[in-house]
Amino acid sequence: MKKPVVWFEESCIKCAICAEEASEVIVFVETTGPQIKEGIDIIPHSEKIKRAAQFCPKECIKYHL
Amino acid sequence: MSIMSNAYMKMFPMEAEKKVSGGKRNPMLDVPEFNKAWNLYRDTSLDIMKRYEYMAQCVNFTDKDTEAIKESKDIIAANLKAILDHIYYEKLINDPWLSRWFRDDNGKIAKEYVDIRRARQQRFLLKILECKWDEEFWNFVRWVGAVHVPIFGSEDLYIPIRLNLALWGYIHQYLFNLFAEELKNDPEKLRRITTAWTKLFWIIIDIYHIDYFGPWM
Repeated sequence: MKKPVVWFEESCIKCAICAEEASEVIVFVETTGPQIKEGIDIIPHSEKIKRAAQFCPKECIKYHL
Repeated sequence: MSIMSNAYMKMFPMEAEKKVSGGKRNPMLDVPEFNKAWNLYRDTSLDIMKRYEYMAQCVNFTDKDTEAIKESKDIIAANLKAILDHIYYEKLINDPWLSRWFRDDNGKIAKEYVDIRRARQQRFLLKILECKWDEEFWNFVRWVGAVHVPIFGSEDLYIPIRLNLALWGYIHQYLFNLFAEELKNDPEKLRRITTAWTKLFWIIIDIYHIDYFGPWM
């Protein structure tokens, strides 16, 4: 089984919408952009992450969940 | 009487007059319609779902209208990019007043910032198309309005109501022209969809502006 993972591609325009849609698991850092919160188990937040990806205007949120 | 209370009475002579009770209640307070109106006012000020329900019954926004908006999904989805490109890259950045919000310190259009605002508008439209008129959705609409009020958001984001209305009106007519073009062979469907969107726009405009006004307005 693949390890669950989420990543943000370079096309990100730093709109921070993902961090608003999935604030429990994604944090927006002004200088670098969105990041998965450190040390967090992403599986319980799968649906939120998928929803954030759905609203990403550049479709740059990728995941294996 | 102290010097201070003397001074006060001179400053406010009406306060110095002897109070005589009329012995009457204000009859307005005994009228059931007044109490009903008060309860409605209180509920729609405090509870966003009650606000939506009240507005929905006021403009007669029903399940049929929700179905009609779902019917329009395909048209909007197929034209989403064109709609947003037009609003942001043609209308907003070229409008003499609205473009102010999209310029950098040198007065030039800040392309990256326009992209971000466009992304946010896209999310707004996508959320509308989900047709989930629940507390989360209406709080989202209210929040989007509230961030454009200085006391809740950033002063840089403050947008006067007349510009909000101008932009909502512009999006409204742009969508209608799109529907008219796409549905020119189906006038009944066109009527259904444009009627539903008109009602929904008015409800959104009300809830979007909640924090622009005192609750008595």
